[in-house]
Amino acid sequence: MRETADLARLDLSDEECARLEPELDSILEHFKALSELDLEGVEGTASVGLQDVTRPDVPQGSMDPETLLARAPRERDSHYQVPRAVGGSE
Amino acid sequence: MSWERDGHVWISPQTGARWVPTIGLEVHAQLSTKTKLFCGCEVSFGAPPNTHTCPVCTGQPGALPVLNEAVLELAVRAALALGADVARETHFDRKNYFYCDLPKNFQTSQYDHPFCSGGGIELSSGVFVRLNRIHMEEDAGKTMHTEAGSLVDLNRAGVPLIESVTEADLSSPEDAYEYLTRFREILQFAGVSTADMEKGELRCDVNVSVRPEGEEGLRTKVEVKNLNSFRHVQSSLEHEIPRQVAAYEAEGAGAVVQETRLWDPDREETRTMRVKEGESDYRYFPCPDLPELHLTEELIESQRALLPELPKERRARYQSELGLSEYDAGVLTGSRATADYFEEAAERSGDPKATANWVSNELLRALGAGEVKAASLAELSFRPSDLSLVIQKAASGELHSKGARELVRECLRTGEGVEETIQSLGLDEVIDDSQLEAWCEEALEANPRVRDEVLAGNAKALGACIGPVMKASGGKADPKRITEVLKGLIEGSS
Ligand SMILES: [Zn+2]
Repeated sequence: MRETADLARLDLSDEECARLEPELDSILEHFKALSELDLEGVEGTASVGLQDVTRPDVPQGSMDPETLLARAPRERDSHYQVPRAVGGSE
Repeated sequence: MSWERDGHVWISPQTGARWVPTIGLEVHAQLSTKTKLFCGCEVSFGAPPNTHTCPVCTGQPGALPVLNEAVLELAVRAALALGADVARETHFDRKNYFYCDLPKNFQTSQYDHPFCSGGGIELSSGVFVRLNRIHMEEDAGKTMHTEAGSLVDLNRAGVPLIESVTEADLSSPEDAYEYLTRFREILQFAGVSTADMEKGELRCDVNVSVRPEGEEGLRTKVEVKNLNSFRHVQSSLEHEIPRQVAAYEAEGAGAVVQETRLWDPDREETRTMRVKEGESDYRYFPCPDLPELHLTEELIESQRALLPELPKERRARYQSELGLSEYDAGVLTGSRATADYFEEAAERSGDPKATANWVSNELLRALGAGEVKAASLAELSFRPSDLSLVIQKAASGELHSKGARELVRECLRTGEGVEETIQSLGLDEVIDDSQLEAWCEEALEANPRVRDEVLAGNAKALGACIGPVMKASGGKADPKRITEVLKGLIEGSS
């Protein structure tokens, strides 16, 4: 529970952890039903139905930045403003 | 403290022990598409923040990604240029992590079924650097860290990249530098990426470990990031290798931990950024929004047909068929634009050696010195047909070498055509022989010793008279003709 919360950058209290743990367990329990299926002779796949969907490399126009940033928690100089995050992405 | 090196071996100044580094590279290259990987937003460098975004690339609820077909084409072409095997089936996966530049909270990437594996690049030492894999993925946004917090611009979010990962086949900072140079030129020649590091189109991370010479197996590797130029890659390794050796020698096994370090070019050191998240922490799974892909024979062959001759082959051909030196062949294949320009001009003029000299001594020099406003020879208004015209006029004697150089420089400066410039410089004015003879006589009278020295067998002494005659003619006389006239006058008078 702790590790999952850390990866999601969630700061959970001990009480919250205690409450969520059985909930997460019961969600995982539901997925167990899938592993009971008999998949003998069925090949793995990453998607069902559609295949090879692509679009031409043609610009479609973008959103007005104001529309986008209206949904931002905070805005500064046309950027999303978030708490200072040091470290970096991949 | 200076480190002595013996080939790939680093000799510790503390203990005299011999250590060898093992290096692998991860290179991200931006594919030259008009739009992003999964949406129709335009890819642009330097646009105002957040002006190239849409519901897809900003991760709005319900938005569905659709793959850009040009990405597949360019990625396949890159794979072929690098001698890699293209997979027939592939798909995208989600790599889950949380960071403010990643609006969807996952990066669409490829995990266990990358579109391509194998291939590699041969270095001049003969070492073949194997590629483990190449995969397609989307870029994240750009974050600026300020006092007021981090500011995020999502213009770059969703821009298509290929990430290539080498095996740990490199064993020196110089190898890493050469590999990157070769890698970049292959992508540029193949036309899949402009790979401009200053625009962030090519980014490199380094993995490096060290071990005592002869020790079996590899020790803990460290990842180094924030390498904004090939020079930085090389210098960061020149500092990271001794750092690891010193740590082992001071603290023993276990002194180097698996981590990501940032290169600080100002202080010339690497420092800890974070202890790496394990691969399982990314919880990869196939992206349910993107259907599986089949890379057909037709797609692969159509891209193979578009592959131009690559720099290594061109260098070999310039030497064997055109008779150029290894150095000239290297200079002329420095970029696709240079090589294409040279080849067209050489074919038109029929004189590859003269063309090579003009391209490297005049055109590339002017470009490098900033005398012309162009990023490459492809942008010059002075075209290969103009250069071949000058070369032909010089060969036929219509222009003398000094005039030809002046002509090219003037054309580059003004952007005017060759014939107009010949007229405006007066290079077409014929200087009649009696006028030339009069100037030559004046010059000989002003320098009486020249006559004696030439008669005594020192032909070089003529040089002192050529300058004044050139000056008198306003630079229009042909130095070769002046020499003939001077000789004639001296011999005739003796
Ligand atoms: Zn978009």
